[in-house]
Amino acid sequence: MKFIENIKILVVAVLLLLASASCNKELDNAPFITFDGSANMTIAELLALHQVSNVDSYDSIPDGTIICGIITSSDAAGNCYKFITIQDETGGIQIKVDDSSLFPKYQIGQKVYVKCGDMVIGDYRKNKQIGFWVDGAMSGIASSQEDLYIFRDGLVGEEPAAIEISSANQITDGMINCLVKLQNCQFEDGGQLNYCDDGTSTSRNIVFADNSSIVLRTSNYADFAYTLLPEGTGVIYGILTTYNTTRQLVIRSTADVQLVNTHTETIASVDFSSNPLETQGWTELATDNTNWFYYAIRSSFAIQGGTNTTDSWLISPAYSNFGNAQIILNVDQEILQGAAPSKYRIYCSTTFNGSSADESEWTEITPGEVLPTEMTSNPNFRIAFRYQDSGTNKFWEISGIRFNAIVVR
Amino acid sequence: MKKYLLSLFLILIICVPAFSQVQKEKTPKDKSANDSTNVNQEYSEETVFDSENLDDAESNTGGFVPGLLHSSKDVYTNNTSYAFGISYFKNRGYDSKYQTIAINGIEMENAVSGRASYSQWGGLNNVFKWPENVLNLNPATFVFGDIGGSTNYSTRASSYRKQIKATYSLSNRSYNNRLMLTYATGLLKNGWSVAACASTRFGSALNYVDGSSYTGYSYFLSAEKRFNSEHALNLSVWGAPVKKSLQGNSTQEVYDLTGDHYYNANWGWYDGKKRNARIRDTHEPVILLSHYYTPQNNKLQITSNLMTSFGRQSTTSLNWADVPDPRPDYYRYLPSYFADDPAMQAYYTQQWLTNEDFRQLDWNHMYEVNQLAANMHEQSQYIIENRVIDHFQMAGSSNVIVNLADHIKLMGGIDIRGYHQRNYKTINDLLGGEYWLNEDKYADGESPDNPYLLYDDLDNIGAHLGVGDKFGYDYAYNIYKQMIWATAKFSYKHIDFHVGLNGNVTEMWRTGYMRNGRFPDNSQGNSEKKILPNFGTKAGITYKINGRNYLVLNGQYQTVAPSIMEAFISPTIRNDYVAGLKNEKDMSADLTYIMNYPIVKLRVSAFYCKFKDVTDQFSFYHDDYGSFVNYAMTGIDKRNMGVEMGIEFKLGSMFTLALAGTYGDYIYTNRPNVTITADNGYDVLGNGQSQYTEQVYWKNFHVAGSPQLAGTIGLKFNYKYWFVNISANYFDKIYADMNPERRTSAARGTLSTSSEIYQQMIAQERLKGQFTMDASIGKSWKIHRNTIGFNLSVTNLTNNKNLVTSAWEQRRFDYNEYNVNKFPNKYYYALGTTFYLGINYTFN
Repeated sequence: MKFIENIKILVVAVLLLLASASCNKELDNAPFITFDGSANMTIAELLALHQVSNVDSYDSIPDGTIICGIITSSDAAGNCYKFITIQDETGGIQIKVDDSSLFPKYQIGQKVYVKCGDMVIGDYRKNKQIGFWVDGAMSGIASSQEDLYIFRDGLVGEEPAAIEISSANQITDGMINCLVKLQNCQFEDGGQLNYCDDGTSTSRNIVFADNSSIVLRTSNYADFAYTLLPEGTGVIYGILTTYNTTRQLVIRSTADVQLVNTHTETIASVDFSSNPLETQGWTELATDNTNWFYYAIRSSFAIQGGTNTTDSWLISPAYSNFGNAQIILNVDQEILQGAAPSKYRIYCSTTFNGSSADESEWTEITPGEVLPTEMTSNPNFRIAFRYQDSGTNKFWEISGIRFNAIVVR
Repeated sequence: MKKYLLSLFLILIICVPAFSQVQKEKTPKDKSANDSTNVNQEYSEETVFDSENLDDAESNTGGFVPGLLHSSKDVYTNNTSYAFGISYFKNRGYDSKYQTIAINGIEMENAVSGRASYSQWGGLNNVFKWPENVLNLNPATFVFGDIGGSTNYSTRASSYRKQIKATYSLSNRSYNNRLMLTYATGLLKNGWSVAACASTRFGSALNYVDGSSYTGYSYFLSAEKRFNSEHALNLSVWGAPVKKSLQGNSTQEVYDLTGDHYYNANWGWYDGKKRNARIRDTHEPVILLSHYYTPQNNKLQITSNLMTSFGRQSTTSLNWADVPDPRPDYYRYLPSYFADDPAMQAYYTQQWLTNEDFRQLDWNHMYEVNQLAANMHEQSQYIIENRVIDHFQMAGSSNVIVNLADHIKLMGGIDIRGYHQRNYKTINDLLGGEYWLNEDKYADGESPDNPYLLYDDLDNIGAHLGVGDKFGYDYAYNIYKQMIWATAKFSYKHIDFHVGLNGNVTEMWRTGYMRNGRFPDNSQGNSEKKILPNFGTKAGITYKINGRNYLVLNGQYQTVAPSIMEAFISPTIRNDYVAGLKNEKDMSADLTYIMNYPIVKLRVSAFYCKFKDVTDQFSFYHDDYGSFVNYAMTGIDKRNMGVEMGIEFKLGSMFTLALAGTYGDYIYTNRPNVTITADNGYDVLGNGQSQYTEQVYWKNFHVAGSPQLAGTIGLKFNYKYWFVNISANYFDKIYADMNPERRTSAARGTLSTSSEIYQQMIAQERLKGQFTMDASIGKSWKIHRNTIGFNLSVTNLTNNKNLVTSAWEQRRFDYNEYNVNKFPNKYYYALGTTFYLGINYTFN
């Protein structure tokens, strides 16, 4: 039938068309917004326009002034309320905005330009801000006018590098309204009190290793206001502010608080109650007759006596189940008083082949310190006690070892 | 060999456009999307059956192959027009303004919207039937024809066969009952013919949509006098006054809360009755005088018309002053608004689930508030306003058909028309209050420098308005249009071809009758007049392989003046045109293969259409701004392409198996501009501008408004005046209409394209594909010389209530939190199972 042939042709044509029409074409994307212009003043220069005094005051900003900075604040968690903090390489400043829920539009890491020629630079209790001076106090940009003053530029990037601070004594005025990283510090009331007392914004102390301290200031409207201050030691990020002469840290969210609070758990131990060479897979290797021996009466393993030059190894079996845990080795040992440490060395290895210590790579370790995780995680991880001496009065006794893993509470 | 060349040609033609990354296309959204399309919807209640036998199609003489008759015999259209109706399917995705609808050869389009208004002859089915349909790009004899095809109805009295016919219909769609009486004398010996029809449509008890109602009357009178064999004059008058209440649209949250995809927020209990705040009242009669000249030599035929139409369409709506939004499904009354407050959320959910006064309009509360205000001689806080559209149109046309030679036929015509449409609001009901103030309270305080911002009508500041008084806006559209066209058709042994040309000039302007405080200097009086010349050209060739196989290639290029509705930035209050207003350019082509065998009929077409520089304008009430907000879009390019196919197999003498379907791809192909303004001068973007223009990045996104994939399979039975018809249908590639603002740089801000918020923001919702089933049955009997017949059609037999007919993103965007779920998409759903039963009795 002629028409059957015709149908075949048509079906092919139609299928081809369908195939081409149904390929998904790439959907359009609007370009992100940029600012058409450039900054003509640094933040440090802007800050210098206003000198704080005992009362809140303000100074005008030259017409046409544009500053640029990266946003470091966020009101996502409710702790930075109605302001945006930006900073450039020279300093940081707070922009007052009379609006909440600023965070989707003004994200941390967003570069912004601020046309501040019509605004003033003033202070609230010596914390410098730009905004408007209304009825004797600083006031924010109206929410409907944000886009007349603040211009986002480009995609959200990284936040600026935080200034590292290890002691309250290192803090200077130039750091105010900048992102800081407090190191090796802890909360005075960690594990005891909430960030805020009921119904009020609250100050808590952060204590550095040198016992100097700085205030953490938290709004009672923050999402985390009534959660417990964490215990432990570590770093805390935040924006440094000032309230009169009191320096205060304001965190953006609890993600800024990175304290570590740990304890250890023994995950493997050897007490030498039986001869490890026979029962536990330990290996003894020595270059002469002065070898490690099992000291059955004392349930220990020891090397003792002899006058020969000695290089004696006592090598553990492989510990293959440490995973990625941080491991600390503790050793119950007795060493001849006054002996040089170079004689009594402890190593670890992942390459020991079971017969030759020389053919293996050994890394010296110190009991009580965290072992290299890249080694402890290896299934052929072993430790070794190596005694090296050419004189007399040899004595080193090992009566037990424990591998402790660090566990975060 | 010929066959392979043919197939190669076909594949090439179809694939070239598919692979080229050219521009085009989008169907402007249905302007009635915010109204009740469901309630408006009417289905043609009679299904046409065609048992034509084409056995002798090749038995002609001299090897001359007869041309194609482009009519309702089309195997694709026949099987899809009814079956696809439930999904608001648009042929090839084209808006209805791309179809030319004529009566007696004169175009019936509304010059403002560009669309013919079928409601002008609603309820007159017995006299507006059997139109001449010209599909798509094929040439018509009565008009030049738009790219979506042309239809011509005849109201010539002598064209109706002598009869008295009574019809009763019962349905659960827009109305429940219809009574229709039709009378025609046929051609009397004295040269006179008279035809008349009257009908009424009423009843809402069976309706799907709560609070909907419909009362309509229709009349038609046509009288013709044949003066001699060459001249005849026909006068037709018709109209259809209809009053109906409208259905609202809601978000999915509301449909889920009410468990009803037909939830209607427009009504509430009042005085023991369901009272609807949105009532549409339409009466736009037409008077048409037609002259027919057919000289003896049969070489010429001239039809001339003089037409006038006039009348009013008005739609009521709630308005309110300094009180909360009274509409129950306002987003602040929905549980989702209280996402941060579980107690409130539970309370609102409970109210929605259990309290009818809460989920419907609270008329009593509105009356109480107004009466309290009246006691203190303060203005009404709630009113019902009436948005009125009055129009007056005069048009004249003359069409000629000349048989120049055996193989050459020339058609042509002229058309001249003037159209005046006045738009204003009046107070319909003070709802127990004392008066209304013609002020825009939201404009108050926006600009202390300009206290007049507040007033819509500067010449009536402080007036206390009562029922019937105009307020808000009052303006007119004025359009003059002249058109001349000609088409020549040539017929040869194996080739038919045609060429056509059309030139037209549109003159348009706005006239303001109210001096608005926002634009005191350019809201009143005449705007600048725009004169927009345009042209169109079309050509086509039919290769008649033999009497059973045809290959047709058609093309059309036209430029089109933008609709006056889309030409002004804010037509209600300003005389300012949209910047960069351009004539639209449409380029369309299709390639069709047609096969006609006794047992199989087939039509398959590939179509491609580029729309360039399309203009669009839409306004909506933005409750945050408390104002109408206008989106004027220019330079929209769209591309519609796809394939459509219909095939019928005769299975014995009684059964026919039909398959028909289309697969289309209708996308935006460029980045047009949108200018957004708020009527009250509100700072729309918070950037200090009350008017701003943005580029819209929506290239390759889909044009909404119609399923882009639709198919049907049907079995028809036809025997001794019985017919039974059953079909299963599938609809897919249904997309939500987009809010252009969500695809602008202003909305994106500095979000990364990979961010979840951004992806949510630009994602265009694709609705789930749905199946429906339809069935119909009918029979007629001869009783002496009379005929009695019935037909019953049941649509959506499986009661599928999940077919979305319209979906759109709300035209507002949460710039602060970028939360696209704050203003979620809105939907209309197709009705579940509906039926239409018609019984008719004809005295011959």
